[in-house]
Amino acid sequence: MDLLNPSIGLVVWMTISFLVLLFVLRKFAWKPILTALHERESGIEKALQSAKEAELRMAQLTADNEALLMEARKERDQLLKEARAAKDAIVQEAKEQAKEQAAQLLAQARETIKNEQARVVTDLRNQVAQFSVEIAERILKEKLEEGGQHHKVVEQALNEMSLN
Amino acid sequence: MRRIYLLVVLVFSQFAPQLKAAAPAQEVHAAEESFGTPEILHHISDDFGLHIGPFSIPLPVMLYFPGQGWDVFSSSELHHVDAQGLVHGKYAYHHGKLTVPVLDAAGQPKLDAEGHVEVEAQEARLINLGGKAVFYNFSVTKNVFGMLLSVLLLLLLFMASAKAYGRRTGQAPKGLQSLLEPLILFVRDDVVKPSIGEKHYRRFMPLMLTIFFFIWINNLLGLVPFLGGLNVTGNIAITFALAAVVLVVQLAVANKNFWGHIFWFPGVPVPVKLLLLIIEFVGLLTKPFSLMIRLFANISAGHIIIMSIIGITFAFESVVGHTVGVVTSLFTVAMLILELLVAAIQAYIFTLLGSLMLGAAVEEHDHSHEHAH
Repeated sequence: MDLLNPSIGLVVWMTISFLVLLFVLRKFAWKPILTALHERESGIEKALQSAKEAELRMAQLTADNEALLMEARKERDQLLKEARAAKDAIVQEAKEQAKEQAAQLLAQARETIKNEQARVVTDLRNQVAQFSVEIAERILKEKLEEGGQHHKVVEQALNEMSLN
Repeated sequence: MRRIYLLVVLVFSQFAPQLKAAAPAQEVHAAEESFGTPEILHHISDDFGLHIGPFSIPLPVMLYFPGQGWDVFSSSELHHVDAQGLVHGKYAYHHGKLTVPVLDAAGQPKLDAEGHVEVEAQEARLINLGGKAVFYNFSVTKNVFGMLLSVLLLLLLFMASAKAYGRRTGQAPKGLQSLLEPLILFVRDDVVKPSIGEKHYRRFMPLMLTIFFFIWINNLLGLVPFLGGLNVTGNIAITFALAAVVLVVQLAVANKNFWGHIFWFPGVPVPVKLLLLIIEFVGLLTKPFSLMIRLFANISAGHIIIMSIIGITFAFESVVGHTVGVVTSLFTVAMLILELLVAAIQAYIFTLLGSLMLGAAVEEHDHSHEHAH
């Protein structure tokens, strides 16, 4: 049956046309198309790769920043702590100094008072002695003038003294 | 779709006897209205001229007689029969078949007992039956025309798209380029690469792409109405040449491992080796043979079914008038849709199985006994 028996002429036509088509397309179509596709694909792959790398680098950077921030925060806390301690120490010192000064002042005041007291006592003693001498003088004078009235004079003199 | 297909086959098988019965009745009053098996076979076979709608386009008939040279004339001469009943003073032309008849004393074609023309020389075919003399038919037939048209279309399509790749480097594909790119990628990533393997597929890409698009576009051209009823991929000579190209390439690139598996299968006892030698050697030829038959049969079958459905209309006209035409037209549309699918599927299958053949030829495996071929 002719339907199932290839005609030689058609086979020759077909083979030649197909081979010509194959070689022309290979040179002018498939090579450029496949090369372009391959290049595009490798380009996309490269871009994806670099994007991934960039992401990784970004993550690294963020982590670094975080660490840096953490460190800075820690340092700040440390500084604050130290500053607080220093302040406390200074205040303490100042307080102590003030206390000391106050104590010193107090001691001085006390000494002054003491001295003053001593001076006053000495003064008083001197005055008492003087008064005693004056009274004695007066008694002696009274005794000397009226003779029996000396007791009254002494009493009067003492009264006057206690008024002082 | 399968249901519609079944229905069509059912309907056709029911009415086939009527078709035969109706044909002679039609011939009586309107010969050009008859439409049956001869017309269908005529459509399926190659033809010297091209019929586009009502127009008949003559094509060159080019015949080569070994030892005598060329005989070239227009196919329009085939319809001019001279007084001796010969065409171009030499040939008998019956049912689209050109032969050189044996002439009687009066110079007229001699008829045998059954009334057929006695043949002296016939067209050279792959298998020449009857031991008759042959001439080579290098005519630009309907199929050659269709094939050259497809070649032109393929060149235009893909060279334009290749130019677009050069022009638009680094840009997204556009227009024709973006239409063809997914198809090219499909052939590359889903057909050729998995069948041949990452290592070798690249050098077979041009061949497989050409085969895929050649078959597909010819399948599609065969479905275009009023384009001369092209049936390029439904012709056995075309599929023979395609399968032969694949076989030749396979044999050319086959490595030691491939030949080893055919002639001396590793890892089996000697008697089995001898048995496998025969099986593998036959297998070497059956694979391209099945490629050839599969494509030819599928595409031809599609054309035959469509033509047969159309034939139903002609067979029934005298019985129920034109109403049958409406139904058969709907069936034809359904079949055409199915054939659109088949056009792509057959191109895919041919490319896939061809790639597998080439893949087997270049495969390199050390653990050969794990595979059964």
